[in-house]
Amino acid sequence: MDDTFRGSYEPYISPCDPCPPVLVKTFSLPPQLFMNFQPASLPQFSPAEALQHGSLWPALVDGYSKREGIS
Amino acid sequence: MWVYEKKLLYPVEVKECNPKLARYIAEQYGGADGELAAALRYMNQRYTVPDKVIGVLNDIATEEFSHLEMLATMIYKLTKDATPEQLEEAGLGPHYVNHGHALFYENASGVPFTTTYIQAKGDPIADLYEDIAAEEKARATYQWIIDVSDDAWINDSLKFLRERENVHSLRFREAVEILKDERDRKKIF
Amino acid sequence: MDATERRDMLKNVQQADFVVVELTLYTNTHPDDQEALTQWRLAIKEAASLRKMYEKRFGPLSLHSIPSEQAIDTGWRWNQAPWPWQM
Repeated sequence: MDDTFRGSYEPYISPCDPCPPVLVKTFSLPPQLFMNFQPASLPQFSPAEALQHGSLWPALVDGYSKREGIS
Repeated sequence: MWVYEKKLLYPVEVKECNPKLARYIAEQYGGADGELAAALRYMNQRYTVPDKVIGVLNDIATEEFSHLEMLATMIYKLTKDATPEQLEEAGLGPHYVNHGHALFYENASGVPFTTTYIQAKGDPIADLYEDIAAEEKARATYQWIIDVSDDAWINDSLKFLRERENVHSLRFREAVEILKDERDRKKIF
Repeated sequence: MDATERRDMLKNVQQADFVVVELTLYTNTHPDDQEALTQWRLAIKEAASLRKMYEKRFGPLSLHSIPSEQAIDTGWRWNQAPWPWQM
């Protein structure tokens, strides 16, 4: 995961919350939010890397894995 | 028209029998924010958007069908040789009595696909904003499926599909910017 | 037919085709980016050449390609398993 493309906040925690509280909640802020219009000539992956990552441009890739514990 | 290509967009690897995971993946197969909804939405909106953005809708719609085939491959393989008992255990008992081992366009809860999931407003900005929202919702759905899946091979394919939502979202955002450039065009001529 | 070799050659086609997919979407919204348009044309050429190499041995991936003698000799048929979801 790339921290650049995640946001976080600290939710209110009640002493009456039934589940063990998650102190910090994280959410996605994917690359397209900060681009709106892709500039020309961005660095590119090789074709093999592009297919593996799901985009030709590293700048559009933020990745995701279940280790993140987002939600 | 379309011509079939006898290959997947991305090499999907399925190594384990796991009907429960297949059921979760169904959310992106026949659910409200799934690939079928996306493909049909864009394919239908393309007729009534300004010419400059038709290509975006046409080509993304086409790609969504290849995503649908990737998901079908996952669901098919995850359930292929599962026994009725295994399917029942995975919560697919109701699916089995209606569809056997067949795939069906339904969500993770077994609700059948409906076109009420999609819209065509005939207003380019309204439609493109719906499309951007659809991509972000699909991205979120992939995140939640990855969160409940322990299958590294399936997650590899789901991660690819999640990233495609990022790229498509950007192209729709660019389409909005292209239309914004049309402001006051009529005055110039 | 070596299954691993077939998979590898297919992956080359998938990689090259994916570059075309990406550049097609990009040039849809960047019609004046000459550098990208040039790369897009070259990417289509590269994808076509890798596809030809695969198809020569293992038969057409679509009915836009002419079945090679080699593929016909080895008994290739369009309606033949494995289909992509069966592989």
